[in-house]
Amino acid sequence: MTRAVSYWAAGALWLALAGFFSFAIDRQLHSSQEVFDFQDALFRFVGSAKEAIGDTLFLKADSYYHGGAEMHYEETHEDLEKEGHVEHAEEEHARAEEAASDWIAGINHKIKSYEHYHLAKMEQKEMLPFFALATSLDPHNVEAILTAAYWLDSHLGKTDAAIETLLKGEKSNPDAWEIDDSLAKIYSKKKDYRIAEQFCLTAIQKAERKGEDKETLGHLQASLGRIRELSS
Amino acid sequence: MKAVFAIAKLVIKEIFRKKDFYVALILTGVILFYAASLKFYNVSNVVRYLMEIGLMLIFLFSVILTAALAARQVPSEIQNRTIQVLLAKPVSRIQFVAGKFLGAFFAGAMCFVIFYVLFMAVTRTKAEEFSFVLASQTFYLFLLNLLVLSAMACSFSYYLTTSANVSITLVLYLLISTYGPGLREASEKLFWINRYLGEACYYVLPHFEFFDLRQRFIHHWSPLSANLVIFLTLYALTYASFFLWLGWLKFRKQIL
Repeated sequence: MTRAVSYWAAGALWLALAGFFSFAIDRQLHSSQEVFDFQDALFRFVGSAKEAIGDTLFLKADSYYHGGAEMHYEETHEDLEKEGHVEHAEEEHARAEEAASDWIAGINHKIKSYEHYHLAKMEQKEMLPFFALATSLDPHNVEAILTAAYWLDSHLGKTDAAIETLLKGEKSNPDAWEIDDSLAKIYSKKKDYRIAEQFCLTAIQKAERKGEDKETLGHLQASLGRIRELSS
Repeated sequence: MKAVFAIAKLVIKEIFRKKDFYVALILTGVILFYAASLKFYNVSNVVRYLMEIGLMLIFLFSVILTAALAARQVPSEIQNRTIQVLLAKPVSRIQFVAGKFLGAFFAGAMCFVIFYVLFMAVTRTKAEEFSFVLASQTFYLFLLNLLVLSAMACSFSYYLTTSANVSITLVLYLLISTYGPGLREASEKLFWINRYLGEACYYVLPHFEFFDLRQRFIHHWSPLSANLVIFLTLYALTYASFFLWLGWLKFRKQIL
C-alpha cells in the first residue's frame, strides 16, 4: 500500500516538474523570440547562412529576368523596360569573339544562351518565387524588398501584395526611408493621398535622421509637394 | 553478344535490388510535390522554379546512382572472387568490360527515365506551354552524359577501389560541369607548368557541360540544331570508347 502511494506521489511529482520546466522553457522561448526568431523554421534549418542564401536568390531573380543568363550588362532605365531580345551590339560582338577562340568555347556558346533577353510581360511572374524567398530569408535586404514591391505593383498588378511586402520590410528595417518612399508612391497611385502624405513625411524624417544628401531630400520634398497638390 | 547482355542484365538487376534508387525516387517525389504546391503572392502557373529544382534533383540523383553502381562492379567481383567463376565460362575479358559498362549505363538510364517521367508529370500540371523538342533534347543529351560518366567510372574501376573511384568520378564530373567552360581562361593566369596542366585538362577531359540543356529548356530558348546534336553524340561515343579502351588496357593482362 505504502509502495503504491509512493509510486503515485513520484509520478505526480514528475509530471509537476515536467509541467514546470515546459512552462519555463516556453516563456524563455517567447521572451527571446526577438533575438533568435525561434518560430522561423528556415532559420533553424540553415542558421545564419540564410541571409547569404537570400541574397543569392535575389541575384537568381535577376538571372531569370535575363532568360537564365548569368551575365551583367550596363542597362539604362529604358533598356530595363524592354521585353524580349535587347540589342547590345558591342557585348554580343565580344561574346562572339570569345566563342571563336577555340572549338570547345564555340560549342559552349551554341549550347548556353548568350543573347541579351528580357522576360516578356506574361513570363515576369517567374521571378516571384525568388523575390518571396529572398525577402523572407534576408528581411534586411532593402533592395530586394523594393524590387519585389516594384515588380508586384508595376508589372503584375498585385498592389496589395506589394504594400504587404513593404510593410513587412518596414518592420524589419525601421530606418530605411526608401521603403516609406515606395509606400508613399504606391498609395499616391491608389489615390489614397492622406496615407501617401504620411508615408512621405516619415520618409523625409528618416532620411534627415540618416543624414542623406540635399539632392535626395530635395526629391522627397518634391514628391511630398506633388502628393499635396494632388490631394487638394 | 549474348554473354555481354547476360552480364549487363545482372548489373541492371542490382540497381533495383538495392534501396538507393527507391530512396532517391521517394525524395525526388516528395520535394517535387511540395515545390509544386507552393504559391507565391497568389499568382498561379509559376513553373520555372519547379523545373529548375526538379531537373537539378533528377540530374544529381542519376549521376550519383550511375557513378556508384559503375564504380563498385569490378572491385566487388574481385573481392567476392566471383570474377574467376565468371571468366571460367565462355566469356572473354573484352566481353566482361563491355557487359559491365552496358549494364551500368542502362541501369543509370532506366533510373533517369523513371525520374524524368515523374518530373514531366509534375511539371505538366503547372506549365502553360511546353517545348517537347527541348524536353526531348534535354533528355537525350543527359543520356549521353550518363554514357560518358558510366564509361569513365567503369574504366576507373579497373585501377581504383570503389570509394576512391566514386570520389574521383564525382569530383571530376562536378568540377568539369561547373568550371569546364572557364578552365582555359583561368589557366592562362597560372604560372608555367600549372598553366600547361590547366590547358591540357581543358582539351583532354570530357566537357560534361555540353550535355546540360537545362537553361535552354527552363527559359524556353530555341532547340539545338540537328548537326550539333549529331556532333555531341559522336563526342560522347568517342569519350565512352576511349574510357572503355583504357579500362580494357589494364584488365586484359591483369592477374586475378
